[in-house]
Amino acid sequence: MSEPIVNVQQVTKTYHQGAVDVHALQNVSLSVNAGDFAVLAGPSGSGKTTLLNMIGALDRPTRGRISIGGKDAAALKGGELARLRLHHVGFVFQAYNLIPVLTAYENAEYVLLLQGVAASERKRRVTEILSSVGLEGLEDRRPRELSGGQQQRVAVARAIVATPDLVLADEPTANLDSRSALDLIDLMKRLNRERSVTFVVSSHDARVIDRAGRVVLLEDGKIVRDERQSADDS
Amino acid sequence: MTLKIAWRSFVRHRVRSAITSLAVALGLAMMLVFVGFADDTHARMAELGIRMGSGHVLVEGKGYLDNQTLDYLVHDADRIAASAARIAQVKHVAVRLKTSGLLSAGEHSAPVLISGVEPGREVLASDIAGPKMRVAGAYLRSLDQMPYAKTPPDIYLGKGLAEQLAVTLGDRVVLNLSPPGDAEPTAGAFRVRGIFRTGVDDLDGAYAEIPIAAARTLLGLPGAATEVALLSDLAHTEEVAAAMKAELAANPDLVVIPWQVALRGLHEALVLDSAGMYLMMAIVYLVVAIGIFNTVLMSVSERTREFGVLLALGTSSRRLFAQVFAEALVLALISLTAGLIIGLSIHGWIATHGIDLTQWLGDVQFAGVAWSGRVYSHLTPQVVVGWTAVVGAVVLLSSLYPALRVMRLEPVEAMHHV
Repeated sequence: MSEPIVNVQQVTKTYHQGAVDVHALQNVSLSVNAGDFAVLAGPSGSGKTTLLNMIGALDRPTRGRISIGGKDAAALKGGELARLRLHHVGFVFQAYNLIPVLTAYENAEYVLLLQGVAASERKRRVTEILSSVGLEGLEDRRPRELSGGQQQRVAVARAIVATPDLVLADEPTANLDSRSALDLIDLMKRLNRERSVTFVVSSHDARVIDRAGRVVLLEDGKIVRDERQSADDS
Repeated sequence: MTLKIAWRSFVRHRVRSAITSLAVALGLAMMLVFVGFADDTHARMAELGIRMGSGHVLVEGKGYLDNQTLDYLVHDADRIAASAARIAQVKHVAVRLKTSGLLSAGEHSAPVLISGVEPGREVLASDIAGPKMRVAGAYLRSLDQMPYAKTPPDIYLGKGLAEQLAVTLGDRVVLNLSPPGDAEPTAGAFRVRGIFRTGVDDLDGAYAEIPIAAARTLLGLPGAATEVALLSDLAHTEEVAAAMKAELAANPDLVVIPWQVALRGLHEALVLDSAGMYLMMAIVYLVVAIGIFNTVLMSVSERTREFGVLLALGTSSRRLFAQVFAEALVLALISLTAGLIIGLSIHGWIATHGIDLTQWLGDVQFAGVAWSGRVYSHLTPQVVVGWTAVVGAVVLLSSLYPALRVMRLEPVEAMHHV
């Protein structure tokens, strides 16, 4: 068994909405290992996105401990958290969230620039990754010139180009048509299989859940089931 | 990449960016035009004032400035004039003996400010003596140029004064003066040699010049003067004053004063005029700054989600600050370039062709100076660079708060921003 990339221990997240406390997560514990393709499943409001944000060091827990790549995320300050995200985590968002003024190539290149990767190496990696997600020939297009599926492929390319320890995808198929959604799932599965990219995906899309190697079911901010399954790779 | 995003964000909202840039550009252009116009006008007014019987630097007896009496004199005026003439930046030197008196002709009389001058030097140092302001006759002759020893000396007086006395060229007038101390008043006859008109009522109606030798004889003050005037140019006033002070270091009874002190009223009026212009421009810039602030804040608010994504990708808060600041920098560079092109083009036209204000205003009297003719624009590279930097700083400072606000964003909240 490989070392866990993410270790979530007894994490609680409470939001204060006026006089009311909303417990988005309650004593959640979870480990994600290298090479996992895990899906956080559950109905809306079950805490999937909150847990994903915690794992991605985008949000801090009210209580508990989260270690990402061996580092205690809760103990890190703003700049250190940004560095942690930059070097260890890749994100794919439901709404693609590409930088509208940058081309597909530049969107994928952005993280490498932040990491200070040399220009020639950036070019090699971005060209290779865009080709591997099927965007060859579309490098110079801006997001508005791409379909939803193509935009989400750019987002995946951006997430994996810097070979992070793990890629977090929040409802990545929610805004895609069926064909694009299936293509995206195939792409993520292929990257998981061929490049050993670790994916944690929040989704209530059955097609994603069926293809996952591990399903973590959340209800009311608690993990009610965490089981590995033989993924349907058909 | 930061500048690339900044540039593309700038052109993403073309109309909004264009309007904001235009506001900044016009603000800078307006400032350059106003400053060029004011600097030239003020310099010309100062020169006009200086060349109407004063100087860029004056040497006076200590106390003369405050008391304006013959008790405070420059006793060895010719020697001081000679040493003044040796200063490199000094173009002309004039020696004057000024006092007040009464001028009469027949039944008419009028109080007068008399200036005893050396005609040969004065004609080079003062516009009053020159043909530009002379409306009749000729300028003074020195006593040794007179055809007969007994001929009354020349007097050169203002048009208003001539009218009060009802005299014209060739008429005789009598000048009554009071020598210093307890000496009896003296009088002498003069013949009107020329009449001038400056456009300044105080000068035209109450000022006259006579040869200094005649003034010294009437007042019993051989070799004396109330001032030695040094004519240079505005840019060298301080240098000349410093050099003259060094020359007179061993003479505690004399003071060296620059034109700003000698013509305090004019100088203060010019400073006040500049202050009024700068105040107006400050208000314009405040309005421009609010516009920029609004534009940058709006742009930042609209892109909160985008900034949230950049944070999620690992962009540091400091880099986000730099991003917003870079966008302000792009705005500044474009608008300042446009402002410089517009402003310097207008300046160039005015500097070449000038604007004739007299067609609208007629002759203008301002702080003892009569203004007529065309006004031009004058800008130095330092002024252009300075004001461009000021406007650039206004743009960048206006974007400081939005940039700081972006630094405080939390990725999750920012990404949920609608």
